[in-house]
Amino acid sequence: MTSKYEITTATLQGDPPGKEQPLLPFIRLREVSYDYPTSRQGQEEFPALRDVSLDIYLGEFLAILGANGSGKSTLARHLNALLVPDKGTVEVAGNLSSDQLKRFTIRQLVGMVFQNPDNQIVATVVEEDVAFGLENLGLPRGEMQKRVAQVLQQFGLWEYRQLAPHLLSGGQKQRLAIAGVVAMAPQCIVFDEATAMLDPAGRREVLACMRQLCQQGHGIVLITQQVEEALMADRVVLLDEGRIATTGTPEEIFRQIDLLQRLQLEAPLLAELSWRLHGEGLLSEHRLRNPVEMAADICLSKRKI
Amino acid sequence: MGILRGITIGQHYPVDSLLHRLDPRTKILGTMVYLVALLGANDPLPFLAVAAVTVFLCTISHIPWRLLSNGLRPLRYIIIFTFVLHLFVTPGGTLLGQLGRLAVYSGGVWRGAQLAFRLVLMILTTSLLTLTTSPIVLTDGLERLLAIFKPLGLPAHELAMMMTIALRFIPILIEEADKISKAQIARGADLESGSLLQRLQSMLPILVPLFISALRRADELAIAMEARCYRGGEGRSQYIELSFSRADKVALLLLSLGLVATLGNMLWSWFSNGV
Repeated sequence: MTSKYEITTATLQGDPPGKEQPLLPFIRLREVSYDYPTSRQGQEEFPALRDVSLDIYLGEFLAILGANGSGKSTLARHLNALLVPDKGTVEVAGNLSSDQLKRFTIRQLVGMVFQNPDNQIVATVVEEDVAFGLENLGLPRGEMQKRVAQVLQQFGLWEYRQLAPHLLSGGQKQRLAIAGVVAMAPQCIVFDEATAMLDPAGRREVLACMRQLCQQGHGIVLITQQVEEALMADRVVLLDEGRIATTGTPEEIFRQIDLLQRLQLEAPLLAELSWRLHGEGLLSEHRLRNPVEMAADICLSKRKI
Repeated sequence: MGILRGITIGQHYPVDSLLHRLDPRTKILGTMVYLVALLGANDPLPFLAVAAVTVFLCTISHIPWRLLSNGLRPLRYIIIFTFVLHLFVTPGGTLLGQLGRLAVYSGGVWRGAQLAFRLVLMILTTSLLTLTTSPIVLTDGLERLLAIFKPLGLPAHELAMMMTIALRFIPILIEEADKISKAQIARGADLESGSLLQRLQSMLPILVPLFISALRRADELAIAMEARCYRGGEGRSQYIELSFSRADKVALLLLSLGLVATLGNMLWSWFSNGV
């Protein structure tokens, strides 16, 4: 069943939402500005966020991409009311983050997974860490046991449930962190560079979890510097010095190689290759596609010559 | 950082034993009564009785003696120092020998041995508490025991949570300290040789980054806990169910008898010395 906040395939492709069921953004940011207290003491004031307006829908996979210091993590922390904007508003399913009484509800609705799994696992045993968030929600013991068992099985951690978290691999620890958040049944999950400290295998594990959660109807917000990860998103937002530089589908974003370079981001390898080959006149057009399609295009161009 | 690896206090050894099955509240109360009895046992007979209880508890815990003795190893210098100090500075009894100005009396030998053994027994029993109880169960038990002082303003939940986090971060900080010391050795730091003072000074480049890292971790953990709806103890439920079994009731009865005997012994010693 789709909720009034959920995005459909049609809207992702740019079609307007159906008249009979108006589509509402699950998270709505309006002209959000934020300045860290410490930065005010410096001679040069550098706000972390400046007039950021953004809508996030359920069932959508949104990637927020930016270089170091672009304001990605600050933006992420606004999404579940860990930070409250100095100016502007953040609204989650109709709850304003500026209202202190609504913050608990917002944190229930928007879960957050951080970069370092070691610094977000609280308990000394795997299953008890999954239960930590549920205890905070005040759920009855039976319900907690049910949810803990369910998410441990879902994330392939059931056999490790009695282990100490420090005995798990990096990927398993991050899966545990995700399981702890998913057990709380949030509707949207923000991953703040959650793959940055993982090896390629751990990264694949976590990205697979994100895809699985998105398919289940969760809104996924992936904060990353890795353009390759942003390729799997439905929509990409590019942040630069606390402002939204541009937004669009990965296809639209990664065609703009010069913009990516200006923002100190590396384009995906295939996008860069396509851009260079197009520049050399070997490709008829520059767009994201697989190597086989590119090779076919080169052959066609050669034949024409 | 090898010294930290040997410490058994805070480690859990999961096997099936009567001690493992007891409710954590029984074990915490038991440890408290035990420590009172140990500190109050000054005469040989009560001291031997307390030592016999320790041996009995270690045996029924099914924890290998080797593991228990490993826990004593990092503290062996403190134990030896305690014995040697009392050997030479505590007078009384007959003179056993003289080494220059230092004299060794039988009273000093008894006092030194008693305090050294008291330390050994104390370490063994406190290690037993954590070795037979998982940290989270232990902190849950502590929280529920302390809850009776809540009306007096004691932050029972916060204390238990601090303990859980401390236990959770012990292996991480040990690993981190190991990494930092290896990094410093790779950059030419000499942590092994030199006088005691020089070795302590050489620890500074390890301790400073370790503290900075611990503070950063604490900050990140606090944010992560807040993100998972943590608001302190209010409105929180508990995942682990604690209940007193028949064995707990028997243990509590024995503890009460032990406490009465301890207090009786202490009063007897006090009156005897007074007279």
